[in-house]
Amino acid sequence: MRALLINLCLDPLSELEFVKPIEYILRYHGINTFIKRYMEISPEDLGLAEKVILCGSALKDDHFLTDKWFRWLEKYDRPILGVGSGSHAIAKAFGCSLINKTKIGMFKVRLIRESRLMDKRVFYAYFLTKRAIIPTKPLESLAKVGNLDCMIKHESREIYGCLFHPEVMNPEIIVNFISKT
Amino acid sequence: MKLGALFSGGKDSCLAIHKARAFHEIACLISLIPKSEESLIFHFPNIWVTRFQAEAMGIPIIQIETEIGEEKELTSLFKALKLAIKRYGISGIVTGAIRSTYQASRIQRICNRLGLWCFNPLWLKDQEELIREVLEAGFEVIISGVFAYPLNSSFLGKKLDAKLLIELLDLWRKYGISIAGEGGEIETTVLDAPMFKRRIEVTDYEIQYRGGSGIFRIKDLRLVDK
Repeated sequence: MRALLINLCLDPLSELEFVKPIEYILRYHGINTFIKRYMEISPEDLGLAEKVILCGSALKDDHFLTDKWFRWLEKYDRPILGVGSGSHAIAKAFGCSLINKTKIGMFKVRLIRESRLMDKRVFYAYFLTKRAIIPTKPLESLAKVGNLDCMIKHESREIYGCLFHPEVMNPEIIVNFISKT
Repeated sequence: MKLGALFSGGKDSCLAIHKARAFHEIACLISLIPKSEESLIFHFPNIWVTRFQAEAMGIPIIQIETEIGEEKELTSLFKALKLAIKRYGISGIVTGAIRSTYQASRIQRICNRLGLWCFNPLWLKDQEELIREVLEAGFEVIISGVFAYPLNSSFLGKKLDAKLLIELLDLWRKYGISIAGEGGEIETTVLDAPMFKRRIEVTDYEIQYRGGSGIFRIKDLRLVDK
């Protein structure tokens, strides 16, 4: 198993905060990883990876939304998980709207559809986001925080997004993504 | 980018600065001085020493006294950051937060209100790895507070080294104590680090230990050439 971790941080200092913690979780579970910045991904990188995680970024960092960096997502056939900002990148690549909504801290999440990523119906998760996703086909909502959609999935492919940061309070989501998709 | 560093004088805030300096300029340090030691968020026994650590680093420091209570402490932090923006033109801050979502989310909200970048380079870092990094980088760190059983007065003033790390790892396995002290079990004070131009020498201290917790109170110090 080889997982590609995509670094969405424009500032290199943020990689320690948003990419390394996910790498630690995977390393602890014996998963090999390699890290690439979002503007430097090559077809070879995508070919080498069996699964891909789009990691988060700082609250002020939305450079990754400024261009069509993620067009490859539409045709890529391997499992993908977007975390925090990574879920924004997935939403944008599949034509969903992003709305301004700041959510910082720990909030209760309700699963509204069964998912192999999480077996709890209700759980707490850590949010650090300035945007929420309005899921439209082919993406559908898996979970809500209040009235906001906070987990998404592609209707027919193994593509997932978490608006929150599972590496902080719900590492099983990352582990399940690797082991069950 | 010019950053302000939230600074307690302990190993975590110093390591965060050490990492941030690789990419950014640390324009100032920011310390909140609690009027009471029961402070919820900023709880450090030798906080007055931060002024001398700043001098040792050659970086200006903003020190603001804060009343006890979450809201008052956060209001003080807000004021301190506004001052840092005005006086030093910072665009962001760096903190030594490791695991506390309580502390991190409150600081993130304040940064968001002020339009500041917020960097937490130690976030979710493995405790043992963190201490090893501190030692490998050449930090001189002493234990300046113990607040959990079975840590006792014999730990106070001890230098953090490979031998003490093994001892702390043993306590972690037996009692579940956070060896990095993120749960408030241990407080540390940094006497020297790679970014210090001079090191701190403690010339007078007292150990206060009572009811399972204690502090190594630095009463006097001097800066010496390295």
